[in-house]
Amino acid sequence: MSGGPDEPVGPPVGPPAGMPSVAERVAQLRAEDRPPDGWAGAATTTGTADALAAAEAGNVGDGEGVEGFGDEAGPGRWGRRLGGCLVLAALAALVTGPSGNADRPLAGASGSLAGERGVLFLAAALLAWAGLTGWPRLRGLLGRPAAYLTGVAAEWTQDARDRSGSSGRRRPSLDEAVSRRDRMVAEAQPRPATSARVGPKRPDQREDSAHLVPPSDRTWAVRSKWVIWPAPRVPTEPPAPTSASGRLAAGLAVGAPAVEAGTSGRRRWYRRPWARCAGYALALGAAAGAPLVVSTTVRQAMVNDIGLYALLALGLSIVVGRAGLLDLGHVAFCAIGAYTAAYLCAPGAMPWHAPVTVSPLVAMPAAMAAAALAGLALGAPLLRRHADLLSMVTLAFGGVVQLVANNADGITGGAGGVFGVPPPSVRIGGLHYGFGLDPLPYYYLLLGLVVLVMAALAGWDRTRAARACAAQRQDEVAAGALGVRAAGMRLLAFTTGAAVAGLVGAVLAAKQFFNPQTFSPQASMLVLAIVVVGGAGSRLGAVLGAVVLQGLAFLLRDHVPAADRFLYFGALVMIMTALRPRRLLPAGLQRVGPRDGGP
Amino acid sequence: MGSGGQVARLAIDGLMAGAVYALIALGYTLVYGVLRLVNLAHGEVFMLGAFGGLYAARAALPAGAGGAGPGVLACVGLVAAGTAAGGLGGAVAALGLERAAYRPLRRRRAPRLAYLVSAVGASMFAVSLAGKEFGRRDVPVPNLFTDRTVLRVAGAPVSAEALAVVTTALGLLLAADRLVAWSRLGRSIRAVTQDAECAVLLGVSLERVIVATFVLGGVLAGAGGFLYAMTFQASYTMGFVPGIKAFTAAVLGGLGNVRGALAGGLLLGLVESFGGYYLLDADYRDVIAFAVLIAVLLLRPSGLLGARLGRPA
Repeated sequence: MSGGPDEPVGPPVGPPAGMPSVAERVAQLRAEDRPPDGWAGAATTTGTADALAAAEAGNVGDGEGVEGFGDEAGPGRWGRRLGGCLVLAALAALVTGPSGNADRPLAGASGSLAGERGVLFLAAALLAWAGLTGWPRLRGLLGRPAAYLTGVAAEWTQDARDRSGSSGRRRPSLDEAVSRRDRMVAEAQPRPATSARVGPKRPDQREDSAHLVPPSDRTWAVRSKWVIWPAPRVPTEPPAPTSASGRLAAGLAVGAPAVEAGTSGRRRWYRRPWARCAGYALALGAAAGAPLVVSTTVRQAMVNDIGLYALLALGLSIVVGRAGLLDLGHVAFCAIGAYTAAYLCAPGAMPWHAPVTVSPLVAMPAAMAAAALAGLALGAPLLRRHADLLSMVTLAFGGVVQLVANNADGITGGAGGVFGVPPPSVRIGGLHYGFGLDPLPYYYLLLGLVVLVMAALAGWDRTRAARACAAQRQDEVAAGALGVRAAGMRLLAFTTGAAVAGLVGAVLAAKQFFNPQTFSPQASMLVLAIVVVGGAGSRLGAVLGAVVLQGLAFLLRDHVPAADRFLYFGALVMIMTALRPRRLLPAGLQRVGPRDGGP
Repeated sequence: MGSGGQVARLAIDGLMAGAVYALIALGYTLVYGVLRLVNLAHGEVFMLGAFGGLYAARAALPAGAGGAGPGVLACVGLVAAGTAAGGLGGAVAALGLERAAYRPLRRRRAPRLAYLVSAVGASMFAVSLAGKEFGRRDVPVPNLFTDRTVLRVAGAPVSAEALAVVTTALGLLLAADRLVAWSRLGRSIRAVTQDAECAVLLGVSLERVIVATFVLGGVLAGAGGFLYAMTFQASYTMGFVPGIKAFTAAVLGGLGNVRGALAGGLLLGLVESFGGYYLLDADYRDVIAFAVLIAVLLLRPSGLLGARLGRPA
């Protein structure tokens, strides 16, 4: 691995002679089977150790020593893994088991864990443990085919990310240029001798070897007039400096090679433009044809559960994925849009209504504007200095909007909800089409809106504003130094997301009855779960996330009680985040730790 | 009753609510100080602590025996036991939260947003799990006190509950404040808050400090959960609104500042109590906290006492 030739000479950068280096100290502590403590352990937790270790270039040792924490070989690791598996299995048993009630709180637990179920889950835990423990050996055996398959899968995801990034259409010359440069740099570097080692990789390799900065950002970096290069990623062993200052310095070094190991310039057939166009056409055709072959119940679900949430998730993906903010009150903007539409469209729906009545289709821009204004009013004071508190403030905002909608009987109609917004109707020339109770037209309306928003986002992703957004998300200081107004960019993204939510609100108002319960904070969290599962910042991902999550929830509605859905959604969000903390975001948010780079 | 009595009554109500807010707010402040992160799932720690205390109180006081009237000592013992059980429940919940939602990300050096998202997932999971296991209805804590009024302040009756809540909460807050100020652990917490990397180079174990901070915040929030459930009721969604209000209190006092959380909690409780009576309809009481939050962020973003932990650097 990183064990180059063991040079007796001291490292060029490091502690003075006589004092053990961090890496030595860590190795020493590991040998004594003690957790790394003191400055060595702390340095490892803060990430300083990696930087130091990189500087020391291969002094870390050459065996199990580099496996990473919690990964050290031996019975300790096995025991901990076993414990983890058992706890997870018990949780899984609880989640899927019967529920208890207030008087017998243990009924659910005992019902879930006793008898056959307990044995089953115990067996599952042991099996999982055995699999995890034996995985390195297994992987050695299965290496070849698995590597091929993962390679193909990686290219697929990479492909999807490219499309969701700033370039709707591929610019092959750029990509090839970068990869050519990539190869040149790689050839110039001395090869590590041990690249053919089979077995578990070092944790940092495992995580980072893929894209630190996806090609979309490479694209804007290369194409824009600002020169922020990604950190030089040397394909040999010592990782790029991961501390913020090091990265900043490296990133600002003009002309540093933007090296991205892994992707070759070869293009498979499915990456060609005609294949992509065909894929889009197929997907669109499937989406358009799907409601024709299903029952009305499914159609209703496709509109209410999938379509509306897909559009909401698209809006939230602007906020979360493009600006890197967390908005937990997204549905509140939907509520504002819905009540605006009800105010404008129907004299009888709410106690308070507009002097003139307009068509719901006309009310849609108005609802968008109202929601955007609310977003502007909430975001403007907040996003300049307190972007990290936005999550909590939007959560509170969502609660307040619901509370006001619920209690302001004289204005919104209160908890009873809003009835009787007329369905939209289209009148072009002599042609007149009115939407009725049938969900089908609404489905096509939503489909059109989704495609429209996706197209608009694709266009937006190529603009200077989108690049500025990505820049401030990656490194606010560097972006600021290059003339990006970070607060303005965040506000723009937040407001845009709110506007999309307002549009959803207008559709919802026209579609059906709604009441304040529709806009509960739970709904906001569901939208967030969809965005996370689909991949924040990915246009198609948001839609697919809605289709998959809500589709599953609909299909399993007889087996999983509706109230228990959030158990699975919450667990899914946690697992996705823990497994892929960096893939969560489209661009390489290379922050070292929670402490680092903060305000 | 005269207006003086009304004022005193409102003040007592405000103190009761404010003491609980302060207990929760301390957890936000401590975690924010150490990790520079808002712990979005802290309200769920509060809720789980409330259930821990509730079932301990039920075990100690068989159903039906509630109104029989145990003596003063028994009352004190019951409150202490419930608070301790609540604190234990909160500590376990916070520990689990740290393990499940934060530690894997720290290992992988995740971006900041990932922590927040993971905490949201944990919050969703915890709320639904509690709803599944404990039922989705309000659960009352058995009545610990028989005589409602123990003393009068300025003409307003003070119930035994109010007295117990306020004294217990203030005692815990004082203990936490001293713990942070005097103990070795508190010193390392303050050191990490001021400069994590430097503290780490001086021998503070960051991992241990993080865990200890979560546990400390969890104990306080869990105890607060029991006290809250004693006055109101426990339910699986009870963490949401008090969590947001306590966050407001923490911001009001200055995020990262222990005394600030205390003062902010009490102040917010009083503002809410008086504002809910004189300014707004009772239905809109919860809007006050939001207005305070926005106003503080606009006018004095560092909070009333400034954003620092413990003593000045």
